[in-house]
Amino acid sequence: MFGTGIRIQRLQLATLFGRPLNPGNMKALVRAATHTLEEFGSFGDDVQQLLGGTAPDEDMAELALKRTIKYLARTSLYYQKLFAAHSLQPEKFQKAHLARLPVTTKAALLAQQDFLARGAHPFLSVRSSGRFPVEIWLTREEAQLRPALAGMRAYTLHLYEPRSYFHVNLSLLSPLNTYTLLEMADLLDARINLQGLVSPVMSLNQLLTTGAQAPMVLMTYPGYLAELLQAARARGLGPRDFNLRCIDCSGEILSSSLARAAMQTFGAPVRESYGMTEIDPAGATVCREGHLHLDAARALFETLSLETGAPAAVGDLATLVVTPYYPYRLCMPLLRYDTRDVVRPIAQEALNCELAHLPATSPILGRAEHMLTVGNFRVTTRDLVEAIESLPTQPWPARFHASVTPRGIALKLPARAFKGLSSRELLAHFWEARLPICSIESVPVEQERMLRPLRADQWRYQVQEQEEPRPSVQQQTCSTHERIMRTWPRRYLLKPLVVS
Amino acid sequence: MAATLFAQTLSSVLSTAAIACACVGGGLLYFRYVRMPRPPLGVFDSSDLAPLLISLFLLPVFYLVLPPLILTILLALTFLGTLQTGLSPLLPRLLVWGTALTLLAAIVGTSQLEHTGWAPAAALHLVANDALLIFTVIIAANINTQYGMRFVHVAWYSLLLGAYDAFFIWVIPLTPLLSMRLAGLAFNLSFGMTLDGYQNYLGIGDMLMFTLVTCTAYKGFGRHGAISAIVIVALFGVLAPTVGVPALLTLLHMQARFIPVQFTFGPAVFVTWLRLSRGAPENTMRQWEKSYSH
Repeated sequence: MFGTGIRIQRLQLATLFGRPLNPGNMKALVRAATHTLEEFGSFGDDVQQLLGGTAPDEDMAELALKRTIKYLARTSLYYQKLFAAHSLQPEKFQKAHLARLPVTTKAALLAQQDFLARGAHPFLSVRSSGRFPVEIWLTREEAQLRPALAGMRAYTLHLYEPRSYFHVNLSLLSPLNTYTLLEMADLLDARINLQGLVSPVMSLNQLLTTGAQAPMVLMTYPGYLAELLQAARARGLGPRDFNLRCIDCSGEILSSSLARAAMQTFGAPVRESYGMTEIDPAGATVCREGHLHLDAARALFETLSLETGAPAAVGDLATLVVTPYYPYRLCMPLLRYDTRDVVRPIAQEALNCELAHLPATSPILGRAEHMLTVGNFRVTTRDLVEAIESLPTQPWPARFHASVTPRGIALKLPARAFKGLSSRELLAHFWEARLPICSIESVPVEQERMLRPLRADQWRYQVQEQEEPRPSVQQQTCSTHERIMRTWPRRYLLKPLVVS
Repeated sequence: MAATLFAQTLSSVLSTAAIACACVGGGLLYFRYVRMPRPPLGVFDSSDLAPLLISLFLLPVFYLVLPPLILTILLALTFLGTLQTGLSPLLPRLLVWGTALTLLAAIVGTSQLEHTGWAPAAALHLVANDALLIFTVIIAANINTQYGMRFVHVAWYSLLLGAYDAFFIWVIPLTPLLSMRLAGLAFNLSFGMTLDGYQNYLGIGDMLMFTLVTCTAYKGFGRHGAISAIVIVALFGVLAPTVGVPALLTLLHMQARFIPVQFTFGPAVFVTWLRLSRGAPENTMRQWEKSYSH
């Protein structure tokens, strides 16, 4: 208790004077939070403010932004040039000046311009997912801070309780994410089964273990959840067969029909969260009412109109633009990073949910480049996923290919979506969902991989690749194995790791 | 001679028992019905024993070297803070400050009147000081227990305190020195009671340990723990130091004005903890509240 008091003072002083956060101190605070919950079942007063669970007031947000601008002007060559080009004087910066600056695009990051901060010591490289991964560098302290920040977020948003049991069906190819999960589990006194993306049947067997040994939290992608759900239903399993308290989904769009079905089968609510390597450690969480609540303590979130680039009005389609605050990003700080993830701003006064203290938007609707425009209609990926996954044939996870034709949207769906339904009935379903679909084509099973790719596909590729001869781990040009060996703490490396 | 000795012993037993009853009973009632505001994060753990032990060694030195006026002011501020913390959940803020300040003013006032030679002042000062110390003991024991202190911590602390108490009374007489030093101040850290013409003084530390042991045993092991704690308080906290040790000293033809209460009480607490913890793990505050709160 005395030690925790001193650590709280250290954190408050660092926040007050804008000093980098000490990872050891932060981890000790998360441990103290774990012990507090174990002893009392709840925190004392003002913990939300202390652990960054509330949005800062306007003055604090402006101060955080000014500190970020000063840090960028001091260390980042890219932003020094940008500020000079736009006649922005960092010492006289006001929040209103922000609009004068252009957003930072993924193209700029891919071009590997001068984003690395001078004086920072790059330690770990992480890559974003997707077809064109962006490389982000972190200092040792930033990497070590991630688990503590994840733990604090888990507690402030009431995501997990101490002594949980995490069952992880996420890709383990990112050493930072894997390290963050392991360390966070340690800080939360939890057990963790880092299973990765394996065959859903294998994962289901582990989830089925009953009693105290059974997993309580399932962390996965919506696509993989859909496969687990299908496997569970095929075996006639229900809520009594699982001990899950919650299912955490991220990385893809989670439809309401899938969430509902998963709740019925696994007996646990499904929660959706949002994160991105480029804006890490800032993120967002979807509340029970379906709003995406933004982590305003760690970053400035702007919603800019897709058409004009100006701040979007309530209800308009907008791209999420994020500025992670100093000192959360030291090695590769970014200003106004355009995520191209589409949302609709919502009126903050209307919020009445359990996370109403955090600013919110609609959930992520899809990527800006995946939006389809047909006349006056703008169709987002979420519109399509929601409509497809609510089909009576339950073709989960939603795989499709959509293209714009002069008559409307031409949709390709796997053959299993048609099971017992005619094209006309399918068309009627989409029209009911107010989607301008003009034709629907069936795709045979063997060609399903040509449709929308999902993160869960990774395990399928692995199975197929295992049947072909492939180079040994040492011969692989991919350095994932080496990176893990170098970056994971020794205690996790009890056995030689083979990464597929 | 024997009658005098019996009367003195009886007076000592009764006064110690009366004050122990007030502290232990008050502490248990407070723990049962009042919840103190907690800091946002943090639980009392074994690392917190170190600052407690350090303060145990340093405080007596401070008490000896600080000028009386500064010591009185420091003690007044400490008591004020403790009363404010403990009374806040019970009374409105204005009444908390009113009660605390009135009590402190009464002690300082009666202490000043004592010097003028007004006869009832001494008794009034004793009563006011005892009331303050009882409140302080109840609140201090509850702060520790409600902030997560466990019976295991108290057991180890008592054991060390037993050795400390005996050493600083029988080997290096620091405690008697301290007692004499504090006797002249407005705030006396010893409970005083006059029974049948005999004056008995009991240290605040001993009463704090009795209350702490009872509250943590109640939290950790429920009613069974509380009863065990009350039994050891009666046997090894009240009877052993007032009857057992003096009788032993008389048999050995030795005399002692000060009896180290923790010398008999500390080991008894430790053994009790060993016995209780063999049956079941200690409850956390959360588990205790689940089982006992309505």
